[in-house]
Amino acid sequence: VSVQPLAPADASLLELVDRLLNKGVVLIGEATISVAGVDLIYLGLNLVLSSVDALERSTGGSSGGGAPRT
Amino acid sequence: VTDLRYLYAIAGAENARAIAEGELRGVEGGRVTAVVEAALSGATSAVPASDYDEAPLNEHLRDLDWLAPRAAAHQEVNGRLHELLDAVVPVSFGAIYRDDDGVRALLRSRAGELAERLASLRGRSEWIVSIERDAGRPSESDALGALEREIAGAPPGRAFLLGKRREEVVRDERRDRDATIAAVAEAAVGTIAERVYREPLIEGAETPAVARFSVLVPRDRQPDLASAVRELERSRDGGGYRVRLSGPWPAYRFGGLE
Repeated sequence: VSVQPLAPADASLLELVDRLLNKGVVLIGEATISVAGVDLIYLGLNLVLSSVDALERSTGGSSGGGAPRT
Repeated sequence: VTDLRYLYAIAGAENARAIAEGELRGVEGGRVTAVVEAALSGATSAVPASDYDEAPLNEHLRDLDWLAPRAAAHQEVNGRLHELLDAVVPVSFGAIYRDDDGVRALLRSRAGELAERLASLRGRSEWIVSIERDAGRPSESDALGALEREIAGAPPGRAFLLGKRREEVVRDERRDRDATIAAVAEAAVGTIAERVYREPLIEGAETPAVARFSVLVPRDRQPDLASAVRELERSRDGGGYRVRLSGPWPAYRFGGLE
């Protein structure tokens, strides 16, 4: 029997949001430096994470990664 | 209608053609194109300012029905880029610029650092290893067995006190076992992974994990990681736990670590 890794496309919404809202390179410095018209909009996300978890509990763990492949 | 540029990921300039030919669609269905600056390129798509300027975006973020499909689309683009390219630095959700020049200025100002990050991720994937307690499995130890026999033969008052004691023992033993499996797991994946990062646990998550690790693994060593996880689950310390492997992810965690 081989281990079947869970593909990111099947990750729970909580895991997906945790990964790409809470992690990932945050290029926030440029927003304040704002030299040549760089204007990065960045977000406060702890709020989002807690509401995602609430949603998952209320729906019994929906899958959020189900965007169709193109 | 004004458009802004949504940035998904950074790759090498030599990947600009592959990004364009990937024919990817972004968070609002816009075509993903490469913005090139010197040795780097940014994978971007157009998004409407009416939804993605600071005020409306922060408003939308409170709405999970709005966020969920777009988070999935962001990952979809990054997942495809990770398949297509040897090295990609995924950016967090919600990095938005006024125009292509804004993206170029970013690539220029962080060129050295971004090139180093790309090099450190080349040919590698990120995986999540989660260790979860198997709720269906009862606690059992010699100490507990002895306590339970004593409770069975004790008068009610004493049985009540022993019952309290039993709860403590169950809790302590579980905490010790959790710590052991976490340490054993960290060592086991550490033999395969180049980098291991112990994640903070997601508060109140539906399936409570005992420990979660992000690991960075050369792409050709994926089968070895799967074997290590399988052995872990079968090991003596793994009794009563499930080990879940998720990936391959673009390196959201390791792309962002210093």
